[in-house]
Amino acid sequence: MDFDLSVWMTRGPYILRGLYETLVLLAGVLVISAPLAVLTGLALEARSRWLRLPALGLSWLIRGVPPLIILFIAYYVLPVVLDIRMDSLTAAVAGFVLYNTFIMGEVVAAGLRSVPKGQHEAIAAAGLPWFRSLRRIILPQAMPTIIPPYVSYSMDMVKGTALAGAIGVTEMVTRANQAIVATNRPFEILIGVAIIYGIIDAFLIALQMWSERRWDHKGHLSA
Amino acid sequence: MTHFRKTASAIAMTLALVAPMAQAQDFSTSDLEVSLDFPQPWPLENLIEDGKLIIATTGKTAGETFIGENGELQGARIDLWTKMAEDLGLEPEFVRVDWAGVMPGLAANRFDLGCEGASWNNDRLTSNDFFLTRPVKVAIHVAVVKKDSDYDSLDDLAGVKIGGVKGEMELKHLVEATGHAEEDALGLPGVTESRLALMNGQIDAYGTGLHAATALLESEGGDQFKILSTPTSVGVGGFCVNAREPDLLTAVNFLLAKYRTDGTIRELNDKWGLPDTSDMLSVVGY
Amino acid sequence: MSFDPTLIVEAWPQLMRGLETTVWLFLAVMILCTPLSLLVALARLSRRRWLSRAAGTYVNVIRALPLLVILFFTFYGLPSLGIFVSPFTAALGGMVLVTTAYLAEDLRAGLMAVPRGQFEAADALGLPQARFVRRVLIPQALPIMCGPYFTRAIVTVKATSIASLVAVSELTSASMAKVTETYRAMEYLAFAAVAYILLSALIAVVQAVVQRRVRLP
Repeated sequence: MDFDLSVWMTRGPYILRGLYETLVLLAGVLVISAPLAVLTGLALEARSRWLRLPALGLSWLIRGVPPLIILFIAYYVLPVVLDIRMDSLTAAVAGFVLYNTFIMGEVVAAGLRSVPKGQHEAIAAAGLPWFRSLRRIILPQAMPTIIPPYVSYSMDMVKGTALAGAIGVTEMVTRANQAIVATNRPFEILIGVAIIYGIIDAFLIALQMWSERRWDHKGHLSA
Repeated sequence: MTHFRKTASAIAMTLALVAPMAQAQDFSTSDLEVSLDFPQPWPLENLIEDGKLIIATTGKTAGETFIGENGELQGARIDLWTKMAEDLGLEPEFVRVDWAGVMPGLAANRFDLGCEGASWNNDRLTSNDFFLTRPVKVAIHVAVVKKDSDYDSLDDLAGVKIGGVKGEMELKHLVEATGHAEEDALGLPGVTESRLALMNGQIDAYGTGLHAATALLESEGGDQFKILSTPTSVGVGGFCVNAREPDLLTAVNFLLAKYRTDGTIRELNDKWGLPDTSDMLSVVGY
Repeated sequence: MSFDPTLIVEAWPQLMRGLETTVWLFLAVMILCTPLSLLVALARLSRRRWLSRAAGTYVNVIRALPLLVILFFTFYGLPSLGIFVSPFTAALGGMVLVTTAYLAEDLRAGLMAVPRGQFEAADALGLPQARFVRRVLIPQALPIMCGPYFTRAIVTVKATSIASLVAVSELTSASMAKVTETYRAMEYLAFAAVAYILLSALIAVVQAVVQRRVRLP
C-alpha cells in the first residue's frame, strides 16, 4: 500500500471548507442543547407526575430513534406534513438538538439522582429559593457524575455531524468521501479527517480535565 | 352480387395499402430532417422553486458527477443537466447529498430531478414516488477482476468470492450470472471499498457498471484490473423526476431524445471518457 | 409521499436477517464491554499514577478516534499487510474497543457519585480494596450507573449500523439495500426506525426491571 499524503495539497482546501459546516453544526447543537438538557434532566427527576411522565415517554422515544431518521424527518417529512421548510443546516441543527437534549438530559438526570435525597428535602424544608439552591448546592455536587458522560456524548456528536450529509449539508466527511471517489486515496484522506476530528476532540477533553479539576471528587482507590 | 362486392372490396383494400407506398417512393426518408422545436422557455407549472431546476447528486460517480480538483462538481451528467436547465430557461441548482437522501428528497418535494443513471427495474418503474425518464444510456453491467487472475469468463466465477455495492443492480446481476446465493456475496458500501476488497483479495470479482469499470481502468493503478468480456446484464438507465412534475418529465424526455439525436450525449461521453451507448438506445424505441 | 406496506412484507426475510445480525452484534458488544469498561473505570480511579494514566489515555485517545476510520483501516488496510479479518469480527472488535472507552466514562461517573468520605473511610479502616469495590462502591453506585449504562446501550444498538462499512448486513444496511434496489425510501426507513425503537423499548424494560432491584433502601 503506497501512502501519498500529497492528495491533501490538491483536495485539502475542498475538504477543509466543510469544516465550517461541521463546526457550525457542532457548536449550534452543543450550545442550544445544553440548557435544554438541564431542563429535561429536571423534568425527568421532577416530583410532579405531569412533568415526569411525559418527559420519560419522550426521552424513551427520542433516544430510541436513529439520529439519521430524526434528520430525515426534520428535512424531508416536516415540509410535506406540517409545511415547515428549513434549509439543510438548520434542519440538521434542529434534529441533532432534539436528539441530544434527551441523551444529555438523561445524563443530567443521573447527576441529580447522585445527590442524596435528604438534601433536596432539606432545601425545601429550609425554604431556600429553588433556582439558587439548584445552581449553588445541587448542580455542583452533581457535576462529577455529569461531566464524563456529558463530554463523551459531545465527542460522539463531533463524529455524528457526518450524518448531516444525507440531508445535503456538505460537511467535512461528505466532502472527504467525494474526494476519496475522485482520487482513490481513502487511507490518506481518512487519516487527515481523523486528525482534524482529533483536534476538535482534544478541546473537549481539555474542557473535561479542567472541569474535573474544578469539581474534583478526590476519591481514589489505593490499589 | 355478393361475390362481386367481396372482390371489389378486396381490390379497394389492396389499393389502399399500395397507394401510400407508391407515394413514398418519391422521396427518401434518409434525407429528411426531423424538426425538434420546443418552447423556450418551457412552461413548467410544478417546479419547487420558480426559475430553478433543483438537482440532487451524490458527486460520487466517476466520469458522470464528481468533484474536480477545483472543488466544483463536474462530469458528463453535470454538463448535460446544466445544458438541460439552460434549454428549459432555468437556473440549475445542484444539491450534493449522500445517496441515502436522494430518494427521500424526491418523495418529499425537495428536488426536481435526481439519479445520475438509474437502471430500470420493476420496482423502480412502478414507483409512485418518482418518474423514470427515458434512458440516457444503455446500462451494461460487467464483472471486474484482477488482471493477473485466471478468470476470463463468467463461468470461471462460479464458486469464487464475489462482491459489489450493496443493494445495487450491478451486484444482483453478477450474483445471478454466476449462480451464487445472494447472502454469499459481500455487500460493500461503495465503489472505493469494492476496489479495495478486490485488490486485497477479499473478493475475486465485483459487479459494476461499464461506465464505472472504464473509469476504474483509466484511473491511477487501474492497469491491474480487467473487465470480463461478457456482461452480466444489459439494460437501460435514466434519471428520476419528482412525481409531482409530469410536465418536467415530458420536457426531460423530449430533451433526452433531442440530445441523443443531435449528438450532445455522445459528445459529452467522449469529453469525459465514458463509453458511448447512444446508438444502442434505439432498442428502447428512440 | 406514498406508503406501500406490502414492500416490507416482500422483503421480510432479508430485513429480519439484518435485524438478527444487529441483535447479535449488540449483545456481543455489551457482554464484552460491560466487564472491560468496569475495569477501565476502576483503573481510572486508582491512586497508582501509571494505571490511572494508562486508562485515561486509552479512554481519551479512543473517544477522539472516529470508529469509521478505525474500521476502515482494520478491514480494508490490514489485508495489504497480510492480515485478514472477517467482517463480523472487524465490526465486533472495533465496536468493543470504542464502546469500552465510552462506557468506562459512564460507569466512572456513577462510581464518583459515591461520597468521597467512603473512599477515605475504607482507607482508614484498612478495608481490602477488592472488598471495598465489591461490597461498598459498586452496590452504592449501581442505582446511579443504571441510567447512563442503559442510555449507552440504547446508543450502542443504533451505533451497530457502522458495521455496514465492513460489509456486515445489519438492520440499517439491509434496509438501505432495499432502498437502493427499489428506490422506495419511506417504507424501508420506517421499518428500520420502528425496529430500532422496539429494540430500545426492550432495553428500557430491562432497565426498569434492573433499576427496581438495585434501588437503595
